[in-house]
Amino acid sequence: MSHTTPAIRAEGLRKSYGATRALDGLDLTVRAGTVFGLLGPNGAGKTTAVRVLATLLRPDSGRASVAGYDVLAQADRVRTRIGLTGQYASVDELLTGRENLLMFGRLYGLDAAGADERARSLLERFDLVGAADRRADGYSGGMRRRLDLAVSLIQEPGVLFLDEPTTGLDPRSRLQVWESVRALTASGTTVLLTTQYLEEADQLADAVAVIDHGRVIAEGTPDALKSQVGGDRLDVVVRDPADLAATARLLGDAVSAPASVHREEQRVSVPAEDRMEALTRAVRALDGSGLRVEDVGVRRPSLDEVFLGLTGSTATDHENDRERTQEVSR
Amino acid sequence: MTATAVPERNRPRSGGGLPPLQLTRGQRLRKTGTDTLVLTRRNFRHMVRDPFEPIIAITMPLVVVLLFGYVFGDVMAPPGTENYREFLVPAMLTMVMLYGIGGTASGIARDTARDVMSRFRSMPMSPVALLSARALADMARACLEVALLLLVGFAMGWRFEDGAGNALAAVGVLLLFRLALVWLGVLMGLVLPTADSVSMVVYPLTFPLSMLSTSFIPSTAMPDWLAPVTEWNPISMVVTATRDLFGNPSLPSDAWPAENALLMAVVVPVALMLLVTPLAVRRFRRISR
Repeated sequence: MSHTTPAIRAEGLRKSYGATRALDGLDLTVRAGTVFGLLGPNGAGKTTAVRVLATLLRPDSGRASVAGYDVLAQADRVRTRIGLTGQYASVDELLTGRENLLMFGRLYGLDAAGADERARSLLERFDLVGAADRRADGYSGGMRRRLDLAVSLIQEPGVLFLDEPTTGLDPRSRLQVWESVRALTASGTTVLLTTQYLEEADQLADAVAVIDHGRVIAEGTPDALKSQVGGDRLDVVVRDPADLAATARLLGDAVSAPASVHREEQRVSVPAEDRMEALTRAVRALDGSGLRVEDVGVRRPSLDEVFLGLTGSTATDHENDRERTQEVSR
Repeated sequence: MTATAVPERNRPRSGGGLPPLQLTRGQRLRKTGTDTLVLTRRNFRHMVRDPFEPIIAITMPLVVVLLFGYVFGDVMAPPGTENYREFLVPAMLTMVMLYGIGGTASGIARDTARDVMSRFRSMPMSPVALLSARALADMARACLEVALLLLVGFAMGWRFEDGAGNALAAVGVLLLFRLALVWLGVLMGLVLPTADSVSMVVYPLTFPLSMLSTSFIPSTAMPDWLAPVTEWNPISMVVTATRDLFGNPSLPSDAWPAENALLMAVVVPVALMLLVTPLAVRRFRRISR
């Protein structure tokens, strides 16, 4: 395999469940040794894509290769080269951390001594030595995820699939998982990571593809994507919904940019190219305006705004659309 | 690029003897064997660490037998049986074999839940080892249960009266029955959506089934329309065959299945296995493809 051969290549993958198109002509190319982020809202087709690439699901049409092997014709070989960590940690809860690693090590084809050695080094690497002989059902969410990650690394896979590795984790555990993923790339593993969080893709990925309705709608480096979307945002939450319009006018004038109003959250949002300057101006304008403010904050653009930038509709709008359609069909 | 062009330097270099990329038929068979043993060991650990189900499965029949043997015995004993407790022990053994189906089905349901199964299937392991390990662990458990209950039987005054050879044959009949139920349980575990739904189905089904047999009362004590159901109930066949082989008191019955109990206790489980095993394997292939 030459260095130009991509670690993952998917061409025109399609998969339908009844009338729902989970994958609708998905194309992907992931360079070897990089972290690739697959970004999209719930139901965009991220998990379906991972399941096809990890040989768990047959696509209706299209083709894909992982580590140089065809996922359909050479599934057995693909399985000797990949690791998979799903959305829910699928470690054996009744076994201890060490027993999990030993069992999966044997199933991966290591002999007893090899599995033992591998378990020892992975426990150390994932900071689980102290908990090694405790049952996994007593682990915290972050520890369980780390054990799951350790299991998926037993055979030192060339390609690792991480399907929403930090969903449901507290911030500290999330940081630990990120740390582990960064360490992986240093060892040359290719990582395909799915996430709903722009920040996560930004932190970890060399390249990102945004997918929606089962196809890629944008691709590039996280920076390129962000510049396409716009920079940070400044949010103001008001106490009285009646103040929303006045607040929007005030803030729009203060930063000289259009303000968007999110009625349900009683929130007004404006672009904040320079974080400090925008914050200072906004607070100055609000002070003495008589508007009662609950909260002010500056944040990175959310996935919603990426979507707004890319498709003109937000990720939550998609969900609302769906709800509305259901209501109509009722 | 041909598949053979993949250089070995891309394989992990660490020690531990990872298998070659492509296995020969013999190597694959050996891998299935070791995978089965690895998973069997895990199944034993599960039984020990989450013993609720195995304990219920063995104590329910025990409680029934103790109740019938020591509390209601005088009223329930069919006329002509001198030792009702000896009469009960084969029924208790059969009942425990029957209740084991819950453990089999819920174990398979847990192993084939989507997230767990995804991990197994993304690995270069033999998926069928999940089924063979389940069968192996559950049969080992059945042997242990039989041994334990025979000891309890001894304590209750039960004896085998017809020689060690026939007693072993009786144990064989029980284990054959259990083996057929293992495969029925595998099929149920693959069909039912969750491990929780298994227990909701299994006990309400198995308890009446064991009562509507000649385990505790003769079919003549049943309403006329129910008597044939009782006589043809496979549980009755296994219980009667076991009683005969142990030389324990049995029920006087001129029903055909009772007179040919041993034959039926072999034929029915074998037929059941021939029916459900291909269905289970086909169903498993569908979800593990």
